[in-house]
Amino acid sequence: MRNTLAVEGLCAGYDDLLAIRDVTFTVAPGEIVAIVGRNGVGKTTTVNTVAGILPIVRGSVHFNGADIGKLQAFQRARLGIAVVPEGRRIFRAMSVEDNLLLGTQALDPSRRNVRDSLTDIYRGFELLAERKSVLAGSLSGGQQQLLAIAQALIARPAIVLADEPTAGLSPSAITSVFEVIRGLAASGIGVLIVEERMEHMTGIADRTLTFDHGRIISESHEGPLIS
Amino acid sequence: MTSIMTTFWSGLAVGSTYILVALQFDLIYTATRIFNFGQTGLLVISSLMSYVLLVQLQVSWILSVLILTVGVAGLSVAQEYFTIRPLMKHGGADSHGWVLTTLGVGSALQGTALLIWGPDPRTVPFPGGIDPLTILNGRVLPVELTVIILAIIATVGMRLFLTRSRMGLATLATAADRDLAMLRGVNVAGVSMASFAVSGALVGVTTAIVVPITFASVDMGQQLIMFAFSAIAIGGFGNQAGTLFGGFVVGLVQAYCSLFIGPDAGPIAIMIMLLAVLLLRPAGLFGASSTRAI
Amino acid sequence: MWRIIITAIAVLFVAALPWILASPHWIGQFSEMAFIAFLIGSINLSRGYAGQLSLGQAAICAVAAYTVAFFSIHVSSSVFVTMPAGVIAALLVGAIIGIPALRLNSWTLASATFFAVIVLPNVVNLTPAITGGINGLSGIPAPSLFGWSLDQNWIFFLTIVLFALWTWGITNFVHSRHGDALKTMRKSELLTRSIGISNFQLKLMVYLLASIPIGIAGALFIYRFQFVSASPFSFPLVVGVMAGSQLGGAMSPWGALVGAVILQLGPAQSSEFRQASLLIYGILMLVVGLALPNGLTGVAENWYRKVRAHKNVDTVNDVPQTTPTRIPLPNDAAVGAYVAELFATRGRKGEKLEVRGVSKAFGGVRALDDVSLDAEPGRITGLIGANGSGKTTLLNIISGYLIAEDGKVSLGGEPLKGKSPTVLARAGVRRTFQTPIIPETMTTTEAVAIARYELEPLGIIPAVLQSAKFRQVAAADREAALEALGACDLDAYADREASSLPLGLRRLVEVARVIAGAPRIVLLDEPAAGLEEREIADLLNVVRALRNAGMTVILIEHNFNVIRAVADVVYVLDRGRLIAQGEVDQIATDPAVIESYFGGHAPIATTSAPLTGPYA
Repeated sequence: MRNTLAVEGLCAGYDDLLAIRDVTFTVAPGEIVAIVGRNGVGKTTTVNTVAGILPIVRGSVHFNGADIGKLQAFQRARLGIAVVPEGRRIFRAMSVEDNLLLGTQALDPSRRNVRDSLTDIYRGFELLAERKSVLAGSLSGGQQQLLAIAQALIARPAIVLADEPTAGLSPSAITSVFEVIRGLAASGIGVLIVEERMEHMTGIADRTLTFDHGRIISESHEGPLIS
Repeated sequence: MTSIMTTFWSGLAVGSTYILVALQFDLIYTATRIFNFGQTGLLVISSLMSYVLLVQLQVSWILSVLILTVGVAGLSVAQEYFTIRPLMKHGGADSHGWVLTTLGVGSALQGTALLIWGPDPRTVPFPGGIDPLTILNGRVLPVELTVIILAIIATVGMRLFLTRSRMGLATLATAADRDLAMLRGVNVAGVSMASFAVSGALVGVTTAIVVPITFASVDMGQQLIMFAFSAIAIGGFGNQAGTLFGGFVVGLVQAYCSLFIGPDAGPIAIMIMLLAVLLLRPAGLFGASSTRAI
Repeated sequence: MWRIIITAIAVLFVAALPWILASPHWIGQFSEMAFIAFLIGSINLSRGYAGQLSLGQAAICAVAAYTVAFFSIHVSSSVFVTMPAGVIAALLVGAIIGIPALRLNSWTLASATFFAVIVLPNVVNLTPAITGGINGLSGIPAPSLFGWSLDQNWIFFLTIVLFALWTWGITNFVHSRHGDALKTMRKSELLTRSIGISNFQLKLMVYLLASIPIGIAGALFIYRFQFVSASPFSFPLVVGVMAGSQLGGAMSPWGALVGAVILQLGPAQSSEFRQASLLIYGILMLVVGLALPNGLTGVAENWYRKVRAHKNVDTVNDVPQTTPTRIPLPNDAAVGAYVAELFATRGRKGEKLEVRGVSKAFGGVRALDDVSLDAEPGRITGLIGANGSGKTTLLNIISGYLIAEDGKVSLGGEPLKGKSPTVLARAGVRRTFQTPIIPETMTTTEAVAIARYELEPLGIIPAVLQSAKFRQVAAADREAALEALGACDLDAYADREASSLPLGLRRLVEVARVIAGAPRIVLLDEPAAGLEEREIADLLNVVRALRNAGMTVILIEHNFNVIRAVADVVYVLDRGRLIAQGEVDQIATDPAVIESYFGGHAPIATTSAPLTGPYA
């Protein structure tokens, strides 16, 4: 299926210890899939392995039908898989605009009209447009998270993997983030979102995968309460 | 006795050679967080090759510069590929294996130069002639003026490159957060290699202008990199304008100590200055706080 | 005991070789080896154990040599005068170059010390009266011992004996608690600070200690050649020593010897070599740096560990790993009394913590806004809040890693604000970390005992000489560690490699480490995260014991069941502000807390496990 991320029997870890085992799931365009579980159960390991930061020990990752296991992280980004890591990670010493410009590194060269991409993103994120020249490190927590997401989006990805995007945010900031995520899915982007608490994902995710001790132990198809 | 102003110009000129070397380090350090001790070897090989090309083989100046640029860039890329890249896989710039391999490269290249050319310094002429100009009551050699202007241009160019160009932004991002840069589509390994390539090219391009001042020999590399390091430390890591300032200060101290005390006093004074800065203002006078204190 | 005697005989045998072999050529070779081995030993000490790369051995050695030469000519040629003079000179120069650079990252130290080598000829040329300038000093009188002039054979004897003594002393040092402190620092400088150890002081101590063999080598150089100039102490020597260190391996006490022997027997044999020495050393360093990061001894050790691990033997102690039987836990009150007595014997007890109006902002983010909190001794004070609510920021402010912009923090009436984590740790503020930080290659007992490093300090000399004081302190360390382990029910794991234990046990080891440090307040940072139910039960027992012992405990937790089970009073943070405080039931029914922390669902309804089992 076009632009679908398919993970099959994935095993990965750190220093000889497997942190995840036999992880299998798919994310199709327009879907929102949630991964939930306590700290340390392997959610971030899964994201990092799909992203290409951690090596695959066993299993496979396919995107758009092709095996991307051998590709490096930056190549996967350029293919259209955007990862927003946890912790509101952005380049703090650079301005908002420079951060966004940096995001265009992953833009497909044939579509690389940087000026247009910037304009598009600023339209979608007025907050950032108003703070173009501000140093990213001086933004508030919620604004930094939005910048991190915008930085990933400017490359027009097909799949977005967001690791705990609402961590440490105020309720209103959380609402904004979820609005953005719903918008992504509505525009045909597949979203994988990692969260610690199941409760937060109610009404957002189409499917929820629960992790424990490195494995998926259950999958629920609740569907969004509010469509 | 040489006048004060003449010494001023020669001090700035010598300082400019340090600045050019410092920029070579700065680029690699910015991209990889590695201080390339192997630069000593590259400088030595490049300077002695310039002697071979310009003096022994009488190759035209432009062609020589071209050959040196491409040659040393290639050598630098080889250094990155064979001796740095394998280490970056395990822990990157935090583990200190690179200190050893860069030292090893520096020694190996210097050792090769020693075997081929022996320890004596060689002079390499500058095509602009040897008639000094008089500026502000001091005599300046054409090569000195050229190198000063070159240093300023190179510093500004480096700054613009890092802050305004796509590649430059990618380089700064790689230095700030390597993993995040990778996730955002930056070919981090490519950036690393490019920084070595450009740094090596910079060595090649500037050699023909620097060598008439420093002479070509096996020993010049060590002193140069230490003075370049001092320039960076005084001006502040990660701050190109600071390096410019630091380089001029170091050059002037060197020149005036030589004038008033003797040729051996300069290096000692600079070392004392370096220790003082490290002790009192470790981030440098204009530090960009990329040095982490313990 | 036998080992010492046999070693002493072997050393004396080697030292007597000049008379046995009567071959000046080989004696010369061995002397060279010993000289290089001293220098390599110095690098290994500072690099391998303190992670500091100094390249200045050649310069420091030169200064020591010139000093010895000067004293031999102008003062006295007695070994008792010249050798100490050389060592002191080495210490002084080492300090002058090292102190400014040590505070920064280690390649800055490498550069600054490298600079010293480059500048040496300039210094020598400027001071011809003392150093003889370019030509150097010759005709230096031979060393004398009690008025008796020593010949080359006796100088060799002296060299070997000194080398043996140095190796013995350093081995003792490395196996003492100082070695443990260095391992801890290498693992995490954050950790050493949290137990009150100053990283700078530790690094400086090692760096200065490493200057001693350089001073000795400088003296031996003069004794042997009776001549000195700047040229032997230049770049090729730096590179050679570095190569030898890399080849032998910086981590093992034998590395220096291995490196020196190979260097001497290999490349140094031919005279053609001298021309090519730079090239050869350079290639050697490259090859070994890429292929053998820990040198030949590292290869040997790795192989040894693999063999032992294969046989399921505990690699730290060569003890077969079996699953220990669990010792049944005594009841809360008994453990509490036990811990209380522990604290009483150290003269420490829980103190009241007062936090008043503390604020902290990062850039534009208000992490904490006018927060006030009281933590009483003999009570468990819980601190909860969503991610980013400021709990960790508050913890970092209390333990000194961050400085608050406004407000006051005091412990038992003493203000804490503005003091560094190291000072606070020494004052009794001890904490655990979200991810347990446990150094490798240490037993559980050692990992816990290190908390006493600053509590009961021990100098370098007793450790080096293994004096009675050293043995006394080592025994006290072990005893205190075992007591702390006992309080956490970790006795069975006392001699196991601490870092190989599962997460739950490592969390407990951190708590034991805190107990062994005789704290006045204990800060626990999400200790239950990632633990299984059973492990949480063990943890809660220890936490309750701490409370019953009268300790002040601040517990930061995400897991509300844990808070419900043990907290006496709870403070709730939300986006940097305190939104509620009180007893657990109050908090659980407070509408503001339910809204912000529980996301609108009252905790009683969403709690997945009943308040039984581990939380009872």
